Amino acid sequence: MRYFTDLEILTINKFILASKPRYSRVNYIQHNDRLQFLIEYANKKGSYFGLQRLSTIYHVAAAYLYFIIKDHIFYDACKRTAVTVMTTFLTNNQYKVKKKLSRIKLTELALKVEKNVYTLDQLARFLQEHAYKG
Amino acid sequence: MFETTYAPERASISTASVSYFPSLNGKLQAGFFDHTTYSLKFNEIDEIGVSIVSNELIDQKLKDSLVYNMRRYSKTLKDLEEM
Repeated sequence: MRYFTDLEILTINKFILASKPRYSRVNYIQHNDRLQFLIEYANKKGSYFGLQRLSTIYHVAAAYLYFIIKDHIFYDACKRTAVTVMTTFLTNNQYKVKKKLSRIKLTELALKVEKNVYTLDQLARFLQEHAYKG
Repeated sequence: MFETTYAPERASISTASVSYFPSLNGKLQAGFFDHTTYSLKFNEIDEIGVSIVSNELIDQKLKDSLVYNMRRYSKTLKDLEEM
């Protein structure tokens, strides 16, 4: 499994904001400690501060989506960055997202994560239903 | 990483690797220095705002995956931006 580094996630956030002249930032990351936690939690095996490790690629993709939104890691575009990181992570690991995960569904998914509708485990199961090894 | 200094008074924003300039047709362009030809190049930013620039932080495969997903979900990203 090819995980993301903190710099790669930051680069994706910069790419998303790049075309918007109003975003003239020196700092993109609002909570670097939370980004480092996400990298540690998602990318390494074994126990981590009592939290159960992420067992499948869907759990890792869900963790990227969940924590970037919930921890508001960036100043701007957290939901857009989270969705892009999640889908790019799956693609980069030769997984495909089914067409039924439409524009509307993906938008609703990000909003539901923000509103605590999904737990991390439920999110992983949702992704498992909507993605497959290509 | 590198920073272009070309016409800085016209640059609207800059990141570590690229600066942005208005083009003659009013669209935004990304200007960056090409180390292979030692020349300044411009890429017009497409409708989803992805500028294909040299970036040492991500490899080509990840860049391809990123661009693919930003294109595929461009409407989702636009929806989320407007919320």
